Amino acid sequence: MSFATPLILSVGETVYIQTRALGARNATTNQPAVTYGSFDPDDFDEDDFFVSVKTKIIMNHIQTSEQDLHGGRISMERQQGFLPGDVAVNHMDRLEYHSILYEVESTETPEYHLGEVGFQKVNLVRVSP
Amino acid sequence: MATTDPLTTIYTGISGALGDIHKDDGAAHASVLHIWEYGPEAFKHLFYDEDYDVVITYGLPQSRSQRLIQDVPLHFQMAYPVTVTSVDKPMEGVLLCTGMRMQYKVTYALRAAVASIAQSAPAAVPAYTLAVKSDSSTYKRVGGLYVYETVHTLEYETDNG
Repeated sequence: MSFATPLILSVGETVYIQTRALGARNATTNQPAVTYGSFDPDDFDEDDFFVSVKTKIIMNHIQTSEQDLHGGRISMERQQGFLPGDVAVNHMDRLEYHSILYEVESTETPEYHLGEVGFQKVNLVRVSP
Repeated sequence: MATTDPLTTIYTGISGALGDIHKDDGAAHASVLHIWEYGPEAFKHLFYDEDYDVVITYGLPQSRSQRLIQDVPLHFQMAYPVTVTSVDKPMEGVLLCTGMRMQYKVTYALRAAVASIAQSAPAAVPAYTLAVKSDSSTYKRVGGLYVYETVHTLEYETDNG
């Protein structure tokens, strides 16, 4: 078995993956509503098995940058993290990490070691104000 | 000497005449903030802490002078950018205030507001005429947000700057 997954699960920090889903289309724009499954440990029920995943992550580094828009300065905070390779996470899902929401900007193919799935890199951008 | 900064004239005139802007349902009032550009407040603070739906910023101009024929007094044409910024709200679920939909609502109201202050009062100093010369819309995906911006270029023409 790959060494990466037990390492992440033992020393990583708790993170909740909020799976993105598309809802009903808007009558005017014809664009679908976007919803995210929210893990609720205080009211844990069967829904929480399907809408969100509690797992561990090891954060690699942080990068911040600022951009001035006409409406004000916006901060872009990016993190790169390592998740267990067998966790399902997709582009534009969200991660709740220390009560801060991040959007999954991109994911990389899980890496394989001796035929076992090891870890996967996710690149995150902060959504929360 | 000019007694009023044209930016103040434009800001006061438009913010006073813009009227109500409604959210997607056509009934609920959108919260609109008018500010001079380059303020100290962060973008997400305005939209999510202060909970504004639309932010209208008034920026600094580009100016040029014009003299059509010899001996006619010089005129100044000052292009002021008025930028309307909106985002999709709320951040998930059914949108109540779609950033893209807000843009034309504000454009429509802005054109009417500018028309209502299109020229200075008789004998006012400075005398001016004001018109919307162009609109340019952009979309950006920045910092996890969908940001819609339209820069309305207002031409303020006056004889003494």
